[in-house]
Amino acid sequence: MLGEVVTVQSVFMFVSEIRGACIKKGFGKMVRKEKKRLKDRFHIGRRGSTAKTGQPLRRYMLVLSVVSFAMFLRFYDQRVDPYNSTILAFSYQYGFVSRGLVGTVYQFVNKITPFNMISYQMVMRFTLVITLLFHLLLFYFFWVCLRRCKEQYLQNLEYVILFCALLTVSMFFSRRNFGRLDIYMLALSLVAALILMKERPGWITWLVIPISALGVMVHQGYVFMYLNVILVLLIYKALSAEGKRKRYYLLLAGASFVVASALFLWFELFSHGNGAVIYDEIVTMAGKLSYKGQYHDTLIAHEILGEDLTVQEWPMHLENFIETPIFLFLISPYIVLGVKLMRGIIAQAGTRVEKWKYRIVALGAVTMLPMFVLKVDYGRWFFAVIMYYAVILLVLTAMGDKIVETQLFGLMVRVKEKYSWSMLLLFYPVYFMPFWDVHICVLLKNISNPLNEAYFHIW
Amino acid sequence: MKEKKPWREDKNVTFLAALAVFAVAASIRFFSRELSMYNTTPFALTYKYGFISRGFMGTLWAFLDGVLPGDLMNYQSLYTFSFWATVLYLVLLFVLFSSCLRHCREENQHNMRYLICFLGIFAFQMFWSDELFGRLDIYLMILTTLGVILIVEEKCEWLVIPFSIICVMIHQGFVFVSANLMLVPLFYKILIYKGKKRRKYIVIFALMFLSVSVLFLYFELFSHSKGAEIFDEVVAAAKALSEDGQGYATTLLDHEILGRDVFEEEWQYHVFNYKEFPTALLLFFPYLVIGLSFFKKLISNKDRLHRFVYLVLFAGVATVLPEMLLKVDYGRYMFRIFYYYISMVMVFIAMGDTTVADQLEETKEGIKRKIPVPLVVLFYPMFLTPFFDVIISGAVHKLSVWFFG
Repeated sequence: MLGEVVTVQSVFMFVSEIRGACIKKGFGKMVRKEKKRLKDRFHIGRRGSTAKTGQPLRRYMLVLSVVSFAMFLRFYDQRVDPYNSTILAFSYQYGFVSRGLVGTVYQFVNKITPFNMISYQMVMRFTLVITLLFHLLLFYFFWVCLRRCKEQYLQNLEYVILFCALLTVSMFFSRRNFGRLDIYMLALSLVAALILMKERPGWITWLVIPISALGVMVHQGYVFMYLNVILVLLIYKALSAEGKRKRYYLLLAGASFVVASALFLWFELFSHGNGAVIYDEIVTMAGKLSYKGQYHDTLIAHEILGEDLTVQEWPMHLENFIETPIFLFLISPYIVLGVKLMRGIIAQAGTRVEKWKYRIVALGAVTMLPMFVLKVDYGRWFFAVIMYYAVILLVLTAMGDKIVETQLFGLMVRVKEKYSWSMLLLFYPVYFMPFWDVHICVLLKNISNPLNEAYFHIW
Repeated sequence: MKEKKPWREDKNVTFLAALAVFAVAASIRFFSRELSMYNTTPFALTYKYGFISRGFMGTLWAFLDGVLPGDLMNYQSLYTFSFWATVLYLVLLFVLFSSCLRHCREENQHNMRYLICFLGIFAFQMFWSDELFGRLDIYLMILTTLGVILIVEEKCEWLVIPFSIICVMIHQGFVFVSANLMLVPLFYKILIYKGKKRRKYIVIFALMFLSVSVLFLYFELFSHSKGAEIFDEVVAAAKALSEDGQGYATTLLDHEILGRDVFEEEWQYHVFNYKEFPTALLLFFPYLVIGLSFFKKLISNKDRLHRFVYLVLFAGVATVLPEMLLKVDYGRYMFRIFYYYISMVMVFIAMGDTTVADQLEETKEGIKRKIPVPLVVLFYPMFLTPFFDVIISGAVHKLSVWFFG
């Protein structure tokens, strides 16, 4: 029967039959044939009528690649901003400093390769390679989600994925965020999501703990920005399971949280002690890595010397307070649809535990609040919020969550049928890309700058 | 009698309202807030120096400066005027969209909305960049769009004649880049209608064609004779209108006032074009395939008359060719090509041509069969635009530099 969920019994019977066939008739071609027959009989390896890896999916990936290439041409600025090159000067040769992991890797690559990586040109090339690798990972993630999706929902999922590609290609190839540490953090969360997508836990699931640690070592903001993907998925799996498995996932969630929190506290409170001693060396290195020697002095002052930037950043906070309500107004259709979706999912949940499971999914982005309150890169924070929901929804549909599937794709179908302008929901976000940092995006900058010049005179 | 729906339930009204938000977003996104000296300089050309080419807008501006209170002969006033002209252009686009939606059959409205979105993607963002904000093209587009609306509505169509005359007086390039937008639908009506109506359209077509041709030849061949005498005065006026009070477009005045051939000066731009155009063809290749397939089936119509009509529709864009051979603004010409084809298909459907409507539906179904996410056909050009002037677009330029250096 199609759509049958794999049971322990069917797995046992499958293994027994395989073993028997192998003993009777030996290995090789016969075994492969038997395996296929039994897989089809017990519906192991696919969830009912899931999308096949045939021509349609490959064709979609080709279309996605072509469109992504066009996005790349549109948004690629061929420049690494001083902020993103300066960060590569931070490394663990100076101690266990915050944001030192990527710089350490970079300088390690410099040691082991015949190239001199300590130049802006090599920073450019390295960043380009990393960004391309990230997108390969992201496309693999999309591919896995597509393969696991039911055929009737495939086209709608393809549009969701197209939207995700727009977000990431525009974000990470454009100048402001080309080489930004966010790319490494998101990559780590995607790897964790791929691991957690598997139905049965194995040794590989333990990797979420070191992944969480690595994320914080890349940037302590990982705790707020992208760790939520891992924690929410673990809690989701815990609340979906019973007994031993439930405890297992809760343990993983707890361990990931504790490790990430401990590292966060270390980096925030204790890692600046050596700052004055290493300052000059880092400045020299940052100058070599940056375009025309223009490194980002504020970054070094904050991360190495531990200087407080509140006063300096106050005008930027005001910029945020002006841009944010305008931005929320402009994207209100998506907020309305998002809230509708989440309410629909929660309403359809049967038990109290299920309702809490989906409430946690819906509220998972709340971890971003401290970033919105304390820091000023609202472009990056909004990107992180949107990516959280996109990744979570993709993973849950890939995991076969029937409620999420029916609500998400049902909503998309209803919107398409009801609104004559529904196609604009795909086109409209293009004008908000790429997300920047302090200015949310160019469109918001083009609103807030004239307002500032005319009325506020803040920046 | 059709029951009038409340506006909220009218799909076309809500569609246009949402599209207006989209247009505003595009405008804000791409508005450079800068009027370049290439676009301020033409306003220094006026008919007080004789009946010179591109003198209409400068004459109008000088007239307004004379009748209105305050001094208009400065950058800020011109900037404000250009802003509202661009807004007017967008408003007229929406009037055209509304007209096309009202005139097409109910079963074609869905496809008409797709075409409108597709046209909007090119048209909304075109005239906000620093190269093109305030360009004379915007005034051509205003008058041309008005003319097309009148043709679709079949009201006061004779007005296309004075509109065309004014357009040539604004910029003689109108003959190549925009005249086809009115000439082709008029020609269609000549072939489709009979009797009195046909005669009416023959007269309008002939008068329009003759008047623009005569004026074009005059401006190209005879309007530069006094150039040397007036040059310094024109330069002084041009400087006064620029942002820094010093700059002016030298090649523009050399060509338009002194009648100098600027081909050599523009050679480096021609080189840009020779590198960028093949790159643009590569990036826009899917539309070449879709367009050729669409027209191939359309032109293979059984009826000889209709075959000829659709051949004219297909070939009507060829008027841009002289510009592409002799001049360098390939970004503007690419825009014209896309604008022509999309708007003309819209107009033909609005004029009741069922063959074009049916072929569009067939093409759409073919796209849906072959492409997994069919909306990507409308989505993809958003990354290859906006078009600029010499440089076709940012994306095309980047790729052409990687290919050709």
